Amino acid sequence: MKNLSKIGLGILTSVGGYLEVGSIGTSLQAGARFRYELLWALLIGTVCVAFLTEMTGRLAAVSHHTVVDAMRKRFGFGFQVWPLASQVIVDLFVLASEIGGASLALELATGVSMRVWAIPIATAIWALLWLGTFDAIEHGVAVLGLVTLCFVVAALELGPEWRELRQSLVPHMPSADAGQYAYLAVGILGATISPYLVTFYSSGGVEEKWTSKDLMPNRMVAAVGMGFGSLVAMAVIVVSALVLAPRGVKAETYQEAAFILTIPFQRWGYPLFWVSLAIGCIGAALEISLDVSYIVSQSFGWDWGESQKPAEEARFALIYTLAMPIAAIPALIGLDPLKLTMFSMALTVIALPIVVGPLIVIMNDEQYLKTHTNGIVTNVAVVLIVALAFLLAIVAIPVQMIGGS
Amino acid sequence: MTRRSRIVRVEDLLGQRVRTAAGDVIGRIEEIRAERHGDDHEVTEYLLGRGALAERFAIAPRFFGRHPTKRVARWDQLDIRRPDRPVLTCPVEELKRE
Amino acid sequence: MDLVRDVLDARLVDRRGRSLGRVDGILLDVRDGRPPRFVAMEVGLVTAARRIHPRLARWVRAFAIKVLPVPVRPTRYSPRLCRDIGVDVKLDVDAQSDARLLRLEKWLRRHVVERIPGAGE
Repeated sequence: MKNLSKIGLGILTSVGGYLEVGSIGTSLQAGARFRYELLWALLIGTVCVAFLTEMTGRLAAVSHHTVVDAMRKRFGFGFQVWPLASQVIVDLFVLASEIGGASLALELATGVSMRVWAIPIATAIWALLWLGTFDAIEHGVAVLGLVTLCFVVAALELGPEWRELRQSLVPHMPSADAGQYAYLAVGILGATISPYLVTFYSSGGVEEKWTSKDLMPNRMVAAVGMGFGSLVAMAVIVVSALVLAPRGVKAETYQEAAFILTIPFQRWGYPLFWVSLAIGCIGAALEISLDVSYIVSQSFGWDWGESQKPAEEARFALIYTLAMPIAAIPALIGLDPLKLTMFSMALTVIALPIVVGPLIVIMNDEQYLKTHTNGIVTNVAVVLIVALAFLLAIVAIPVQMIGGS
Repeated sequence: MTRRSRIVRVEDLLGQRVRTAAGDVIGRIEEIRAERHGDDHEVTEYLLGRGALAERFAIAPRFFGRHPTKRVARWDQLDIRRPDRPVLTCPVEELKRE
Repeated sequence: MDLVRDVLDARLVDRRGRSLGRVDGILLDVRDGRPPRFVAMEVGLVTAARRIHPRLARWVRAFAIKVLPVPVRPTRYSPRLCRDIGVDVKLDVDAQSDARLLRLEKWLRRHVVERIPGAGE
């Protein structure tokens, strides 16, 4: 039973990682413009994020420290403030994208402009955090997140070309438009390897009081949870490649792509699309707002945890309360959520090294991990993927900006 | 006996380059050890150099090379009254090496 | 004990396990002819800001004096209060009953959080 609850944390984390506005948005565009060609970015992103979640779960189980705890104690506040600040900024941008995505989902459902929905959505997310417990949120999102499996069903229904699909899992140059291709690869990597997954998952592990008995289940959860998420994101690429690409739809906005599921599912397709988008975005928004509170509280050594009532942890609760109105502003003024998403994902990749670098140092610290320090494969895989993503980003982002789109 | 005393912050000392009386830099302060004596906690020694840093991070030796130097200065071998410029009060050779 | 590895930046907890903040600074009393004495662990926003840049600390202080409803001076804990140094530093104090501790947390709880419905006891 306890393992089932851990899988819940894994799926919640992965819903936040994959089934949200970032992954849906980048996957839709990738499929529409390059068919299966960018599947490899999703694959290496998944490998990286599975390693990262396994690592942070292991840190929580062996040392009872969260990533932020360990980072502050090892590196000191003078250094740790930089990863903290970058992550708070990235979190706020991504949170704004999620609120935008959820508001847009309601626009698709009702025809009423997303600007009207920004405040109700932000308020609803806040109320769930204020009134709910971690368990309720975790299980609710994990169960509702299963709706997004409709993309997998759709992909199978449409019948992808398996040979071409398999070949796309190996990194390669594009058939055309290298600038756009690289920018989308960065977007996919940023949407997949989100730094908040790392801090969130380790906080969840500490909050659920894992011990070294949980190491094996932790490994399973990292693999199953992230596998689940990446399966859905891959399905989005495939469906987009089979539905949007042949029709010449570039998926420059979510509205353009909203009919995507009506081909396999007819009249159920449209509601399934906006429901998936809404659940994914709200799930991710819950996770990210909690994450902002987690990392700030842990940095300053305040009591933290979503299992307590707000009155017992006033500062913790006020941090996410403060984050919500700030993050609602872009949706409120009607900023295009897909553009904001792409920007947030690029920003995420730029911030990755400063968060992941110190984490790798801690994961090799024998005082924290005892005999469970990182193996050479984990170290090398994570460092290589993060370095690749970062290099791709500093090349692709300026090109994209100069070239315009 | 003089009763003059002044407050110095550990976070100011940390990472500062330690110089000999002649002005040569011999390494940075990476750790400060204290022990309890009766009701008081007193500083016993300062650990200097990359070896002390490696020890603080408890990282497998493969990341720091095999034998990074670590020097140990007894409390009376290091003058910390100016935390931005700590100075040895003895020749380097008298410091313990580990 | 190792002041940097074990104490600086460690989380302080009281007798009941309540967090008191992190050790933002450590004060040594440098005496002539005798070993420096470890006199206090300091917790406070200004002390933390000082570690980024002294100028930032001055700005934070000026700003905090203007906006915060509670005194901004850092809290100092004597090492004599230490009961155990491990993952956290456990202190022999009680944050609930001691009005000098967690001033901001208590103020926010009373004046902000508890006025919003659903905040709990």
